[in-house]
Formats: sequence, structure tokens, C-alpha cells
Amino acid sequence: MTGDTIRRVVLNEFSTPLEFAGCSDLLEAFVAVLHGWSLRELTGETTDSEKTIRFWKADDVYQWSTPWGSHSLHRRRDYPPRTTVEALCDFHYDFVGWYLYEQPDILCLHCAAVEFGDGLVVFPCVAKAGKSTLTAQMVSRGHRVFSDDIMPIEPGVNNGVATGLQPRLRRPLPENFPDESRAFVEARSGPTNKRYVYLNLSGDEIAPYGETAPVKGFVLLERETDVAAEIVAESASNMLAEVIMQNSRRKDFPMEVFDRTHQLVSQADCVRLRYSNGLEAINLLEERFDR
Amino acid sequence: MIMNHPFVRCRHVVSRRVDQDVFLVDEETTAIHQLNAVGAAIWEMLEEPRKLSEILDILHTAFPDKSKKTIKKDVKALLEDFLDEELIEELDPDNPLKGVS
Repeated sequence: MTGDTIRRVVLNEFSTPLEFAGCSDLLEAFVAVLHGWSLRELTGETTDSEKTIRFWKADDVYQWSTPWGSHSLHRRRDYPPRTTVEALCDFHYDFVGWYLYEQPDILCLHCAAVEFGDGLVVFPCVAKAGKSTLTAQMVSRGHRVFSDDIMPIEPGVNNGVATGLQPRLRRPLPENFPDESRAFVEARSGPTNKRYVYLNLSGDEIAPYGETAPVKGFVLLERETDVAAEIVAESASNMLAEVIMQNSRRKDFPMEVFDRTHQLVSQADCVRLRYSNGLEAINLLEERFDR
Repeated sequence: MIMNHPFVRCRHVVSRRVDQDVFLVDEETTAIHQLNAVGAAIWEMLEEPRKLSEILDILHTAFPDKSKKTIKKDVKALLEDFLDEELIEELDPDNPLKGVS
């Protein structure tokens, strides 16, 4: 382990402290992408290393260990994180593990969620469907984002809980990304590397950690080439299957995850959205959900 | 596969109906299966132990225009899938507490 500065912090009400040994830059990067999270420095307090998320640098490579044991070192051994943003991007996936470690009984959806009118429209994660770029375009049109990746569901009620994790877009942006959307993203670029750009959305563009809102719709995205945007009704059973299959907790609590997701989906408006042009797609979403 | 004995749902499988579909949640393997309308109908028939011949009789009555050969082939394939996934088991009539393997 190298570096002589050790910082220990607690974020939010989480029980797991974080320790940064010789890599305060990574802590600063975390703070930059976690909107509405509170940070408390632990000074003069010792922490149980077994129950601490520890970060350090060895041979110029960022490394970490986590108490939930999903892995003990950085994720990509073929492409080890040597810069702050590479380490941030690699740890991105561990935010989910961290959240579930802290709140093991909570249902988390793998999705984007954006505020339309009096509730949230949820976009379950579908590979290469343009979820994050469409989310950025929705924010540029005045809708607040609640989630770009995972969204916990408040126990007992069908409310989504904002994680405050800033959206992350793949680079380069799509060729057909409109100029005004591109300018919006460029004006709000946060931590960036060759593959990703985190946005740096302000308080009226992203809900802060912990804010809740009712889920009112589920939208399965289908991005195609050269089609007019179209919304068609989707059955609750097909939506349920899509949402459940992406839920990692179903392996631990299959019935609880099924029944909770069923309750959520059955009370929402479920549709499929085919689109090529993001702005056309948002027009249809506003017609359907913005009330 | 014997297919002469009654089939019964495995105790560790819980079903839920959503719209026209039935989902099976296997609490042992944690697998979740989405059944189509035919699969759902057969699953609901297996609420009580039934032999293949009983299932076929019910379906022949319900779908008189459909070839008996086709129905038998489809139902056998479905039951084999259910058995492979350990969603159902065949009852041993000499020992009803234990399935036939």
C-alpha cells in the first residue's frame, strides 16, 4: 500500500465506513457523482477493516475491497484502473452491491426513472436501447431524473427512491444525437474518460438521494433505425418478466421479489416504446404520462 | 419417462397468475418460469394429481378439432419439460409420499 494520507468517511446513514489510503482524489470523484449524499469525516476513530470499504493504490493501480465480498480487487484485471475516473467507473457497479449490503430487504430495480407530472416513469434496463442518452434528453426537456441505473423501491408503498447517482453516458455520444442535446451534455459534463461521461446535473435536474415519488408507468425501450416513434400497450405479465429477470435479488428472495414487483407493475401503465429519434420519443412520453 | 403414474406439482414450486399467464417460482432453485396459455392450463389441471391419460381426455374434449396425436405430442413434451425442471414429479402409487424417478 502506498500513500501516506488516510481518510475515513461515512456516507449518508450507511453503516459501512469508507477508507481512502493515499487516494483522496477518488473520494472527491465520488462526491462529484453522488447528489444529495451527506459525508461525515471520521477523525480519530478506528474502523473494523473487515466491515470497511477500503480503497488504496498499488503500483499506480486503484484497488479496493468490500465487506460483501463480490470481489476483493478491482474488476478488470486486463485493464486495471490507473486514473481516478477509471476507478470511479469500475466501482460504479459496486454501488448496487453496496446499497443492497446496507439495505438487504429492499427491492431495487435495474432501470432509469424520470419524473413525468405527478409520478415516475420507469425504463427497465434493456441492452443498447438508449436508456441513458434518452434520460439525458428527458432532463434537457425539464424532467427530473430519479435514477439512471438502479432505483430502490420504498418498502410498503410503490414509491421509487432517488439514489442521487449522476447519470453516466457512453462516449462517443450517438451520431444522431441532436446538437442541442449534445450541448446540454457538454455543459454538464462531470468526471469523464475515453469511454464514459458522468453528468453534473443540478438540484432541479436530478432528485437528491432519498427523495421519493410514486411509480406510475413502465416503458420498455426498443431503439431501431428509421422508425417513427410509437407507443404500444404492453401486458403486465411481459413487463413483469422483463423486470424480474434483471433483478439480482430474485436469487435470494424469489417469492418476495416476484410478489413485490408484481404489485408494482400491476398498478402502473405498462407500454413499449419503439423509436429512433429521442425527441420524438419524448413527445409521446409527455402525451402519455405528463399529467 | 414412464408417464403411466399421476403427476403432481412439486411442493417447492409456487404459482402466480398474471393476466393470462402463469408464473412458476421455484423456491429451491430460485428459477422463475413464465408459462404460455397451454402450459398454464396444464399446470392448473395438476392442482390435483392427474395421469397423462386424464389430461389428454380433458384436452380432447376441450379441443375436438385438434388432432389427438398432436395434443399428445405437445402435452408429453410439456410434461417432460416440467419434469426436467423439477416443477412436477410422478407419484409412485405404491408409495405416494415418494415420486418415481
